[in-house]
Amino acid sequence: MNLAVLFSGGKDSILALARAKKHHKISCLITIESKNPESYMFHTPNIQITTLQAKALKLPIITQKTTGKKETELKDLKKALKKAKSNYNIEGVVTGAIASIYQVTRIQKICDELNFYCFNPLWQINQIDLLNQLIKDKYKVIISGVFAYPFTKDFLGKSINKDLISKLKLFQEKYKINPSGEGGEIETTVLNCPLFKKEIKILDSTTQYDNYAGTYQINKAYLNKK
Amino acid sequence: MILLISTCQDPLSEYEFVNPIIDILKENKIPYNTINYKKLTQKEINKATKIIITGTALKDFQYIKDINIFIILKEYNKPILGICAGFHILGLINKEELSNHKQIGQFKTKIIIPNSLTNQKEFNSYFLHSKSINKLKSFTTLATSNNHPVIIKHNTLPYYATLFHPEVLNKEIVENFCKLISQN
Repeated sequence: MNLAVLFSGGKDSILALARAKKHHKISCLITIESKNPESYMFHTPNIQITTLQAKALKLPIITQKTTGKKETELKDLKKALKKAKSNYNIEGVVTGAIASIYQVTRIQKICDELNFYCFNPLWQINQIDLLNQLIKDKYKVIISGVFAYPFTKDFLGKSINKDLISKLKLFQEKYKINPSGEGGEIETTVLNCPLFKKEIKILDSTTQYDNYAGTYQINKAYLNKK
Repeated sequence: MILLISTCQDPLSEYEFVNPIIDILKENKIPYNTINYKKLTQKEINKATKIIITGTALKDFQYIKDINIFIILKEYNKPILGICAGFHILGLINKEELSNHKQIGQFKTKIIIPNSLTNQKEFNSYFLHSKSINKLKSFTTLATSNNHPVIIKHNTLPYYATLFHPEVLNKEIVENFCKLISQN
């Protein structure tokens, strides 16, 4: 089956892609570039890096802009899926949804309208297991956004490693934070993984932070041979 | 040992519909074995103290085309829990008829007959189906959602079925099913 992956550049969409690739052909990536930084549907920090990640994956990418207004986002997603069908003859869509019934319901409904299969290979996965899988499989993933107490500025730009996972586990126990950010508490950007033919190197970045919310914005980056 | 029968035609769907149930069984230290329905044999069924039949992708109806494979379950007299596609399968092998009825997302489920699967009277459940059974002959409705039967039990055998996916919002249903005492 030809599949499209809904792609934010974060750890979940890439892990979902990795699982899907074991069983089907990934024909393209679909990125929704939302102007709404508080979108419930689409991850926003460093979305422009997805073009570089697509090159590292050697996959075509469809980027659809959206104003990010609640239900307009879905119309724009539908447009992008129709483009994927027309350009790449996709038969199904893969998402990195883990626990958000809000997100998965909306995507399932759109897939149903368009007669696409919908695959969510990370659905209900244990979030600490997911983070440990990243380390085991040698992913290089940085925290590109924090949006909840008690995340301080020093989390921004940090790579996910064993120490960070321990901190996230502690936050989960103490503050009921979703350790892999499923509630929007953190967003991530993948700089390297086994599927990347080249790794992403950051040349310039800007950190913005205020009152337990902030982003690590990658301004300039390039692909480096592995 | 619980036998977990996957109804997924596509192995990529098993991460979504089988793995979450495996996680519940592992958390509760319940021994299990997993098999895709296409490889189902009498030998596997005989080894099981209980059976759980999983759901599958919304667009996947291969299990209905292959319904004859499931006739083998009719001789099984120990507890079975059918989830979504499993609900359809238990219905079809007991001569119920499927009707078109779509529910995608979170909806309220209301218990109408107290039962062993849950102590709650009303709760949210996650639904992902386009078929249901409206006029039950061999089953009794234990719970409804928008007046449709969503938890059912066979009138004489220990077969239960949920139209929703309990592994998402109602894990205790799977856990309580596993605790049921087999009569044989």
